[in-house]
Amino acid sequence: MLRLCSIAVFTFLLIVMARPARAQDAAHSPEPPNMAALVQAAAKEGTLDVAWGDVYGGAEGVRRAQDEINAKYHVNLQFKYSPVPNGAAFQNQVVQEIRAGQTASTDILFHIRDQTLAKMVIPVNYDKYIPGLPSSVMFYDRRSVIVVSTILAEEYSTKDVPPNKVPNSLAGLLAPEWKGKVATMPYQGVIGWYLGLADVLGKDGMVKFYTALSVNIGGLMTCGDSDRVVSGEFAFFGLDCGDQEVRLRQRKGEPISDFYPKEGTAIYAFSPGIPLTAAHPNAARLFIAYLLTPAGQKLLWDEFGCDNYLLPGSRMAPVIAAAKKKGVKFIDIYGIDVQHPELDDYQRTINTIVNQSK
Amino acid sequence: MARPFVVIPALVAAAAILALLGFVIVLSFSRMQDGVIAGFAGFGNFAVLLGDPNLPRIVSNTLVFAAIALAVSFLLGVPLAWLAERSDLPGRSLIWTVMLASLVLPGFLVGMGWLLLAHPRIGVLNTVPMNAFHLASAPLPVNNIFGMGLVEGLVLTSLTFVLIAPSLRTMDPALEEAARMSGASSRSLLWNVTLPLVLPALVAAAMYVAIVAVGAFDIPAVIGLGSRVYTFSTFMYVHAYPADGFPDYGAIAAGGAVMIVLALGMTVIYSQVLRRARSFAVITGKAYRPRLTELGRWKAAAWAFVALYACGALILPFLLTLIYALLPFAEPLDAGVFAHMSLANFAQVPWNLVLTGAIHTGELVIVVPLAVLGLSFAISWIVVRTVVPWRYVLDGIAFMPHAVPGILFGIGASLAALFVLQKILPIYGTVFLIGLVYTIGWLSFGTRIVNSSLIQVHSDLIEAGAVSGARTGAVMRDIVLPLVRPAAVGAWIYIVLLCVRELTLAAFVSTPKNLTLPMVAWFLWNNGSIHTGAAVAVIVAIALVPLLFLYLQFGPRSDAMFGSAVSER
Repeated sequence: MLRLCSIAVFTFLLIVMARPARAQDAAHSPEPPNMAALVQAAAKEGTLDVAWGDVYGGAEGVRRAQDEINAKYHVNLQFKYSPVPNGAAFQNQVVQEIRAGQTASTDILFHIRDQTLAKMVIPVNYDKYIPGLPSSVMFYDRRSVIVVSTILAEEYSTKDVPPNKVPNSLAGLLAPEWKGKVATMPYQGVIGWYLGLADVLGKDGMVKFYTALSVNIGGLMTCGDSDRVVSGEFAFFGLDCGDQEVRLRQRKGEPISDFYPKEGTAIYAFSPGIPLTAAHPNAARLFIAYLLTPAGQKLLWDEFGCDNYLLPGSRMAPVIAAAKKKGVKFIDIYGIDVQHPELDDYQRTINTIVNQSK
Repeated sequence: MARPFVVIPALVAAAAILALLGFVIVLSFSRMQDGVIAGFAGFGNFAVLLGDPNLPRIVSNTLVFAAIALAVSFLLGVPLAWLAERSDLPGRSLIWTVMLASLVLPGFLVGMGWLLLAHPRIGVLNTVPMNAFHLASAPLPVNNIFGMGLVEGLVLTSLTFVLIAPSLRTMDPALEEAARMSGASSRSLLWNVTLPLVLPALVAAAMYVAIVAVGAFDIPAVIGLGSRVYTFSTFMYVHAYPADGFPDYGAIAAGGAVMIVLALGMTVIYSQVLRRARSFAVITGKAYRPRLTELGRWKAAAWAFVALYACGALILPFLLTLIYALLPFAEPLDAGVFAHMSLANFAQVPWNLVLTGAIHTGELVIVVPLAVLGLSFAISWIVVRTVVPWRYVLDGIAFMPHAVPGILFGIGASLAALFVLQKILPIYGTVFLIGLVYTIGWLSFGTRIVNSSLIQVHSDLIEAGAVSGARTGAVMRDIVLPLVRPAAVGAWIYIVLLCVRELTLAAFVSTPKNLTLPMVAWFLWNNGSIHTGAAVAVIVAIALVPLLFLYLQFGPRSDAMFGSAVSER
């Protein structure tokens, strides 16, 4: 009897473990015509599955969005957040799922980085839900929408870099005294390619800079890992994934700051999209649309440390304006891969340089 | 005596292994475009792999890293196993507890702990002497290939211990008694009798641990990636998860194909060891409880040795993880650090995720060890106890998943589930897929343990059962299974712990739908929530304490039953 029960439990567990995900096709899900219809459609779906790192405030940001959306639209949606360790790699995994016709592991790709990835998400007319939304925030045939803007900066430890030694340029990182104390990302090319633009350093200048920087690089770290700067393991981290990280840490009193390089500072963006095989496309539309509202922008500023400087009432806009007054040269780089196909090659060049094995 | 109930599961397991490895081979000759197969590439992927300018350095790094890890794990693990099983050290069962507890701590946490201890700029082992003696450079930097090998060796010591200890426990004392009667000294006894008797287990364990070290991911990732010191696994990882485009699975698979060829070589060598192993049968059915060596005045030194290991592999890494879980942000470890500690990170733990991860892990803990041991027994029985001509081929196949780096194995399984099996067996993104990969991946471990145990069961016992009229099932149930039970219990506990702490395989077949408990900790740790991740890791470690007590309760009892069962027969 005991043996039979054991076999039954074992078999039951196997069945439970093997329950497959429900197949879905967001690409053919009709787009609700207005916010009321969208709320109704999202309520019918009931759930939103999202997965990313600390973007949009991570777990706390998603929880707050769930509570605010439920309160504002009188629905009872359940948002399920899962952390992922490497956002870019995870998005590639989701692309594989989409190509295989599998339900995507997340209802939202947190950032549509280029036109290739944009082909994996559905177009959405967010201006149907957010009246007056400027068309300049929608990219790649409305497949992605900028919800936050961020400034690519160089982070430094205020304990290890005295105020009189804080550089204001990329060249400052090449000083011999910082040898072994600079960290960069293993995928620095994703961000640093803009330095190859003609009005920044140009391709030759970009290669020269990263080749020289490679000598000073003491290690590699990923976005969101600025604890390693705070701890003193590295004096600098650059280019970083956006100044929101430093802003959030400064609010907590951590000994970290950043500077905008005078050679040219990039304004980048985080712009989500909805996978072609998302299980809950309407809940995803509602989530993204909410982030574009004033309340959603406030949430992002509080939890993620930045908002969209192109939207009214932005808190990032004054930050950018103040830096401009100080002479910082800003370049808006989101979406320019369409005009600059050569940037793809720049990415690989930079990554090869910074990832050389010791 | 190859009966269908043994042959069928063994062949199914072998077919699953071959199918997965075959898929890797197919990928290695495939042209990939945007991450999917787009045609035949010939040897193009191999050319890409060999043309990588980093390859020579990575090969040398990997070999040095594995050699150091193997040396450290054997220098620590073998003496610890001997102390636990063959010495009269008082309270020596505590050594098993320490070894199992060290398995509880995920390797990446040990790596982080040692990074904080011995980092050249922030590690206390370096900053203190540098400040005290005005040294220009760090005396004990951990972020190089030697430091990484040392830490990996510490992590692998428990594996070496688990592989060696059962063989030491189940040795025939007759040969040692004979040597003693002939006047052999303790040293002579050790070198001329004991070590030769456990030689097959030592060779098998060395091969096993060396391959684990070659494919190790956690320590190279935590310590090496950040310092640009790559080994084979992190090299593969970088190719598998590029941020500047889709993964080049073709080049990764080409690397995997090379590993498969190397694995074949290792398998042949291992088979040679196994062929000679019958002459090492050390359980004969007569009283075989080995005599314990008296340590005398060396007892204190022995305990100091155990304590040193426990500090390096268990206590210090756990303490540092705990400190991280209590700190709001990272800071150098000095006296002022205590002022900033609080339980705030525990309040931020995403409990719904932890619960989901715990449920998934619980399912794996129940199913995977049973599946691994059941299939391992079927394979090992054919390999060790039959004379079918394909038995060594079967053993070689069972050994191969171990030789393939876990990363590749995970990627292969994930892609096979996604693009090949999706229509007929939709298991992508399920806990079942993780369980399947774990089961196949750990079959090599299971079969090594069961092989070693079955080798030591003398055929006289089985023949006696058969002559007495017992059927095959009865012989297995009443004679073989009780005799291999100590090894099986050890292996079961080890696989349970692997289920609870495994990251490498899980990382490549996980989606947000099938996260396990350690994956939750690892994901949090790596996505910027380091301190919350540390809090979850501490919770995982504490939750595993009951398992340790479970072993303490039932481990010795099963041992006693084992001994009495033999004497009764």
